[in-house]
Order: sequence, then structure tokens, then C-alpha cells
Amino acid sequence: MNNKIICLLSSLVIVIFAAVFSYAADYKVFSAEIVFSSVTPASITHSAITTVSSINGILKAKAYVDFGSNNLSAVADLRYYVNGQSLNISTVSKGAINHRTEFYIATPKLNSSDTSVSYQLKITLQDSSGSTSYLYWPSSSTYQSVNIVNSSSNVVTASGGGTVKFESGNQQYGDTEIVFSSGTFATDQTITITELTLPSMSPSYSGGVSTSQMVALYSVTPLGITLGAPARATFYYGTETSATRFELMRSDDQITWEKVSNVTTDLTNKTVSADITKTGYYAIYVSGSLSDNDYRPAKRVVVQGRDVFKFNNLSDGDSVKIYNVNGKRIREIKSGDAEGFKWDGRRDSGSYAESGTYIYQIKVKDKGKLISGTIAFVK
Amino acid sequence: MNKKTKIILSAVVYLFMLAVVADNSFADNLADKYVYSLFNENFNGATQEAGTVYDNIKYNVWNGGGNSRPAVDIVADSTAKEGNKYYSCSISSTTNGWSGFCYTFVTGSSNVETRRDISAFSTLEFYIRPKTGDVSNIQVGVTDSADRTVSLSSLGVNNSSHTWQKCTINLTGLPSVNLINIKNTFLFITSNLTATFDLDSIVLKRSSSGSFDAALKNISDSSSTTKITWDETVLGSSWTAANQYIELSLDKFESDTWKIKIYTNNGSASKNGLVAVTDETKIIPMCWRISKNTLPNSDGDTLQIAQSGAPNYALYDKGKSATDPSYYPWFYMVDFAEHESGDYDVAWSYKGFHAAKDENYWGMMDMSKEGIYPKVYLGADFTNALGGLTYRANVKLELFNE
Amino acid sequence: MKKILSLLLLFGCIVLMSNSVFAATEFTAEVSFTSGGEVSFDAVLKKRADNTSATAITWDAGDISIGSSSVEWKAATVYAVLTSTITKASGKVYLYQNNKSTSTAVKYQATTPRYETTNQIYSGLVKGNSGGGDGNYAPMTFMVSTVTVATPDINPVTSEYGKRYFIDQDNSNFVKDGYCTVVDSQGYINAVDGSGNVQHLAKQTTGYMYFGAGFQNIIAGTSYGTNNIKFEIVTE
Repeated sequence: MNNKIICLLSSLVIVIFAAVFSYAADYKVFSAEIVFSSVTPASITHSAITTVSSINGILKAKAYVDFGSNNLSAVADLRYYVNGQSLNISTVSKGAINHRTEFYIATPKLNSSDTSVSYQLKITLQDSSGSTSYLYWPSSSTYQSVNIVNSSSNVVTASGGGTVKFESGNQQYGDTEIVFSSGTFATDQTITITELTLPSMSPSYSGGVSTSQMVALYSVTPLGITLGAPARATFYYGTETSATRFELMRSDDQITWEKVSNVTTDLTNKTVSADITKTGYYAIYVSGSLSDNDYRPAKRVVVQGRDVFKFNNLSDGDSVKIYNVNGKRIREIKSGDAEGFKWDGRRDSGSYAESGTYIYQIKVKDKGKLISGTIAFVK
Repeated sequence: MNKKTKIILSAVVYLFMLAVVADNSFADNLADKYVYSLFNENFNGATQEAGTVYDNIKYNVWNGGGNSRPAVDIVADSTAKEGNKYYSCSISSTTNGWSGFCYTFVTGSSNVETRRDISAFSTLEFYIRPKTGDVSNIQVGVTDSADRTVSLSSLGVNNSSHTWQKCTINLTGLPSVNLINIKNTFLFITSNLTATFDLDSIVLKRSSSGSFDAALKNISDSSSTTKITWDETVLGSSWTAANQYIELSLDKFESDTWKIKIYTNNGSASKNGLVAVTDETKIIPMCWRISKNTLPNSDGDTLQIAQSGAPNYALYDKGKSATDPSYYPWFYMVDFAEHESGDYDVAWSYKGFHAAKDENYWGMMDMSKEGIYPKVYLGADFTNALGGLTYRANVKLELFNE
Repeated sequence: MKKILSLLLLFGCIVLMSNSVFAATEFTAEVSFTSGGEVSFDAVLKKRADNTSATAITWDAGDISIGSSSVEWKAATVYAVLTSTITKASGKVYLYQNNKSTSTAVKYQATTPRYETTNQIYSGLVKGNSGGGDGNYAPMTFMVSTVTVATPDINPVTSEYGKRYFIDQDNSNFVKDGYCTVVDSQGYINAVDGSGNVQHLAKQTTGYMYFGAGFQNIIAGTSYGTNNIKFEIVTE
């Protein structure tokens, strides 16, 4: 009651105020400013490439040029030589580049027998009066030397953890790396990530799913280690595929594979990431080639309490709907675990459905169609 | 007591009756009833227990000519035609004597037999379920100065069908009957018969066309009022019941296909709620529910309204548990401009109350007319209500017939 | 015991095909919120790069070409987190400027600022020091979003939807309702179309405002600014 009176009085005060001035209002005021300093020179920004993958074989540099306080035009070149042959320099030209605009410039695919590449970026600047100047990275007289390898190692300490990273040499996309937290290993451990050439025939893997297309294969060694804590692994899958859905599989022997769950795909950086708990072989598969049957439950009759229907190969954004034979929807399932989306025979309300035939409808978000079938539930 | 004595006593009673002012309780109840219940759990009326007197109607069994009385027990099980109870009857009259039972008008503290006027009613209806023996020749009807009856077979009863069958006696069609001077308003009499059968839902019915009434009452004290309101303090609250309820009644309406619908009448389908008087784009959604009795009640039904999330956004009784079938009694209000031929906006119909227990639930099947006064409660969601505005809605209830 | 209402018999009636209405009754439901509801609003500046707090709206000078004759629209490096609760029908918040104020506390420079006077445009960033002819101001824009945006598009030319110019109270086209309104009882406002119809975003407490400015013919060694970007909170 008191609050009401106070409110009322406040309203009255404001009303009176409003009568004298235009109307009741409160203000928040900000200022804005930009200062352009007198003269600043142009500069080039680029992070050095440390390794080029022998399997991908392309060095692609990312850089940008800041024109400073000048009205300029610019073009960029990439100059490089392989295997120490410093007198045999090739040039790739990017052409016109803009102030503070990121650009990429790449070598063609190098020979699989090449072991190193050395590169330099050269920027030609021209101002409005036509006079020309140059910017170089690393400098006008030096080249950055990069090893062409297929692996990278680092020591992961027991107390501090660590990161093992394998740069593919393509700065447009992400790199393969594994971040270990402290306590993952009992003693300091050297971990190596090796990119492997793809086998000529992709093996099938356990989990009841048929073969699909492998696009990248790595080993995380030494094999056979179970981590004391999960590590965050990111694997780069390359530029050979335009698929959008991938699976990450792990194996100890490249023969029997198991699916890694909770995989995040980054299409911009062309990586898949997941928490891993073991070393071993890691393969990235394109999952777009799964057939309808790869989603259907293997068990078509389930007895209450003894088993559940499992809908495989589904992830966030997919759904399974269960209908009775009259077409009434009784359950919608939108999530699951490593064994898939499961239906135990319960309705959305929690009570068990009657014995009988039910129709399932699976919606896989990337497939753009529905997969239906019938199952029988027995109480 | 033998028959002769009974007749003499009856005569004395009649003479006595002429001398005293008649007890009019039955007549009062008769005045505005479309259905008068003699044995029915859902309508107001007379006795439901053998041997008792209620509303000045006494249930009698008798026999004659050396026969035993009929055994009539009240059985409660799910096979009742209406409600939970029915009469289970066993007749064994082996000679030409008779046995039977009836409802008799009585008066005064001594329950003396008397005569009443039932001419306002047009039919006497009941359900019979034959079991053993042949019921075809059992006589049913009323008694004025004599028994005025017809046989069950003439009412269309199929003795070999052991299911509930409805019988309708056209009262004015009974031979030589004087409906103004009735002693037994329901008479069941047999001779030389052994049979068993069940009876249920024995009622008297009128035939005139009906009327519909809706009265607005305050929840606090059931006093009459003129407007449906909420307190200002509901601003910003989610679904909240109004301070009033609407009590419905339906009288003397004969058809079996009627409905009472409820909607807002604000002029367009989008205005299915309280509309701000100065800004018609600001609308507060409304809902309703219908209940047999006032709420909250002893069955745990409350006036707390909650709303479930996507995708159904169903409204439910927050005071009940989700496993209780009476969890979803609330309906969203639609506007008259949108109302469709379906049943979503039907509150009460020949099927019963629209109780929204599940998609197809109607409370109180079959008998859902006179003598029952269901209450309609209203709610609204003030989450997006704005201070400084007055919101208004016209709430319309209509009775119509398919 | 009950009053019997008069019957309405409607044969061949409006309602439905074979139905006929026998009776109808109507009640009025009403609720009046005369004193309730609140209007509260706050705006806090933060740096887009790391979400730490900022004291003024600013741009990255290195990001802007010196001497370019074409207009470059750049997003400010600072954004505003708006917090509002408006449960009163009359509540709203306007956004506009007062660059022509004579008060030394308000105007950008003690010396007479240079405005674009030909078209009576006093809004945006005004040039602080002397020098230069055209480009005496840099027009400013803003956009409102219900989520944070990594790279806000504040260029009014790329698409007219969602971005609005800042308006000065001395501009000839100055109007508060609609165009200058940031949030009202229906939520944050995304855009205003040519007919003055506002497009509301989903109603929520927090909104985000991103700022932009169009830079042209910039000369090294100059500065642009404004000291009076004003949110006006109206309760009635």
C-alpha cells in the first residue's frame, strides 16, 4: 500500500513538472570522436607459416596491408623457391589489394618429393602522384624457410598440459591441433600428430553403418594411450570435398573403428572438433553418403523395459517422431547419446504407449527428406 | 396389510387430504424443471433409495394373490446406464396374483398418499435391461384412480436383447389417464411371471422449448455482479483467473443436439481477448474453463492456470499433476468472428461439459441438461499488458441447436 | 429462481449452416491499469573487440583511407548494450543529437564547429578543427539488434533495412516518434519504413546498438566528433 502511495505521489510530481516543461523525460548522453593523426606510413601484416603439409602441398599465405595516412594503390606478389634452390625463384601475383583488406596468395601444388619451400611477400605501392615504393615480408633480402612435412610433435607436460599443432600451410583454413589440459599424463609425454595418406579403400566401421568416404586421416601417437582427461582435438579435413556433414572415427589399428560423439563441424575453417579420450588413428568421413537404412533402427520389435529402439547417425537438429496407426503423434525425440536417438515406448507425457504398431518418421536436417517406417512396441 | 384394508386407508387419506392444505414441495420443484428425476443421479428430483421418501415421493413395493414381492436392489457398478447405480429387479409371481413396485406421491409428516398434477410433463422415460425370463408383458405406467399402463413389448422392448433399451411412454397416450390427479407417478406391475431385469434413469420430461440463462457472480461470495474484472495488480502476471464466474442453466430444452458456445465478441478473429480501448493493436489473450461446481473444489481442481511450452503451449491446471486426466481443462478464447463449426469453443452441449481432459473428452455423458448449473471461469495472460491502458472484451455465450 | 432471459430466435441465421441460435447473452470484461507499469532504460558502452567498458564511441583511424573521395562506411569500435523495461503504454526512448547547442559543455569544439549547412544537416560527427572544405561532417548511422553482432552492417547504402541515420534536433526533418524511437512498449525497433511504420524486434530486456559513420576526403591531422548523442527516456 505504501509503495502505491509513493508511486502515486511520484506520478503527481512528474505530472506537475511536465506541465511546466515540455514533458517528463530523463536523458543518457554519450560522445563520439575520431582523431586522424598527421602522417603514418604503410605497413604489411602477416604471420609466418611454419610447416606445409606434404600431403596437401600448397603454401597459402594470408596478409593485409595498412596504407597508413596515405592515398595509395597496391599490388601483391608471392615469391618462392623450393628445396633450397634460391636462384630458382617463382612469382605468383595476386594483383590489386586494398587498404586493410585481408588477402590470400598461394603457391601452386608442390611436388610430393619437395622437402622445403622458402617464400617472401612483396607489395608494390603507388601514390596519387605516381611515385612507387615497396613493402616486403619478411624483408627485401630474406625469405622465410618452411619445411614440408607430414607431422608435428610437442611435449605435453604432466603439470601444465600443452598443445600439439600441425599446420597445413594453408592460412585460409584451420589447422589440426590437440589441446591437452594439465593432468592428462602422469609424466611428460611427447605427442605427435601425423597426417597420413588416405587408404585406397576406406574400411567399414563397427556400429552397423556402411562404408562412406574418408577425406582425412591422422595418427595421434604413441598409440594405445588413454588420456587422464579429455583433450580438445581439431582436425583439418582439406579442400577436396564440398560436403557439409562429417563424422570423426577413431581406431587403434585402422581396422575396427568407433564413432567419436559430439563432433562440431566448422565449415569456414574446414575442421571437425571433438573431445578425445585416447590416442590412435583419427579419420574424417563425409557422412552425406549414409543411406536411409543407416538411420533406421536395427531392432524393429521392442519389449517394454527390455530394450529400446535406436535411431542411428543422428545429431542436433535432427528429430524422430513416433505416430500411432491413427496418425496421432505420440512422441518427439530431439536428442540422444552415443548410441543414437532412443525410443523406449513412452509417450511425450511419460506414460508407456499401448502395444501395437507405430510409425516412425526421421528428419535428418541435411537430407531434406523424411525417412519413415514401422516398428512394434510390446508392453 | 391386505388389499381391502389398504383401500380403506387410502380412502381415509384422500378424505383427510381434502381437508388440509396440500403440501406443495413436489409442485414447487416441478415448476421450472424440464426433467424431473425419479431415479437418476444427475438430475434433481425424488427418491433414489428404495423405501425412502424424497421430495414427497415414496418408493413402494407390493405383492398380492399369494405372490412374493419383487426384489429390487440398488446395484453400483460400471454397467449402469447413467451414473453409477441402477435397480436390479427380480420378479417371481407364479400365480395369477400380481407383484410390482411404484413411486407414490405422499404428503405430511406421516407420508400419507396423495394426488398430484403431472400434466406439465409429456413423457415418462426409463431404461430397461432384460436378463432372464420374458419381460414383454410387464405393464408400466401411472396410477390415477386406476392403473393406466402399457406393456413393455408395446414400448418396443426386445426381450432377447440383454442390453440397455430406452422406453418412452407418452403420458397423454395412456388409456383414460387423468394426469391432473396422479397417485403413482411410475408403476411397474406383473402377473404370473418369473423374470429378472435392470432399470435405470427413470425420469419425467416436458416438451416445451427451452431457455438459457447465464448469471455473472463474484467468486468471493457468489453475489451477483455486472462485469468481469481483474485487479490492477495483475499487470505483468501470467495467466490469472478473473474475479467472477458465469453460472449457466438450461431449462426445458428438448432437442438432443444443442450446444452452448463461448467467445469474445470484439469484431475480428485477432481480437480474441481483452483489447486496449485506446489502441486496438494491444490485445491480452483470454481463456475459459467449465466446471460442474465452484472452484477451487475438493477434487483438487484449482483456478491456477499455467501454460506449457512449445510446441503445444497448452493451458493446464497448475494445482493438478500432469498425470491427472483433468490436467488440461482450459481452452483459449476465440472471437465470434472466427468461430468455426467444430467444438473448440463449445462449453456445454448434449454431450456434456467440454472438460478438455484430452482431445475428445466431454464430461458427464448423455444427461447434461436441466438441473445442473455449470460454472464458466475466465482467465487472461497479463505478461504483456501495459500500464496506462484500459483493456476490454465482450464475452458472448450462445445457445443453439444443430 | 432464475430470471429467464428473452429468447432470440434466428432462423436461417448468420452463424452456421444448419444451426439456429435460440438464445444469447453477453458480458463485459474489463481491467484498467491506471497506475501500474514502469519505464526504465540504461545504455552502457563496450568495446567490440573484448567487451570491456568504453567511455566514448570511436573508430579505428587506421581503418580509414586518407584522402579518399568516395564515402567509406565504417563501424565504430564501440557498441552500446541497452537495457530496458517498458511496461507502460506511453513509455519510449528516443535517440537524437544536439550539435548546434551553444552550451560549451555540449558542443564538440569551443570554436565554432563546422556543419553542413547547405542541406541543413547538423547531425553526425562534426569537424572539430579548421581546414578542408567539403566533408565538414561525417554522417552517423545506428542499428539495433537483439543479439550481439560480430561484424555489424551499418552502411545505409547496402540495404535500407535495419539502419537509420542519426538526426539532430535542428535538422529540418527532425521528428521523434517513429524515426528516432529506439524502443517502446512493444520492444526494440529495427527499422522504420518509408511510411513511418516501425518494425519491432522480439521483445526482450536487452538490446544492442551498433554505430557507423561515413568518412570522405579525410585529411591527416583532423578530428571529428560530437558531444551530444542523446537517449531521451519518456514515461508519458
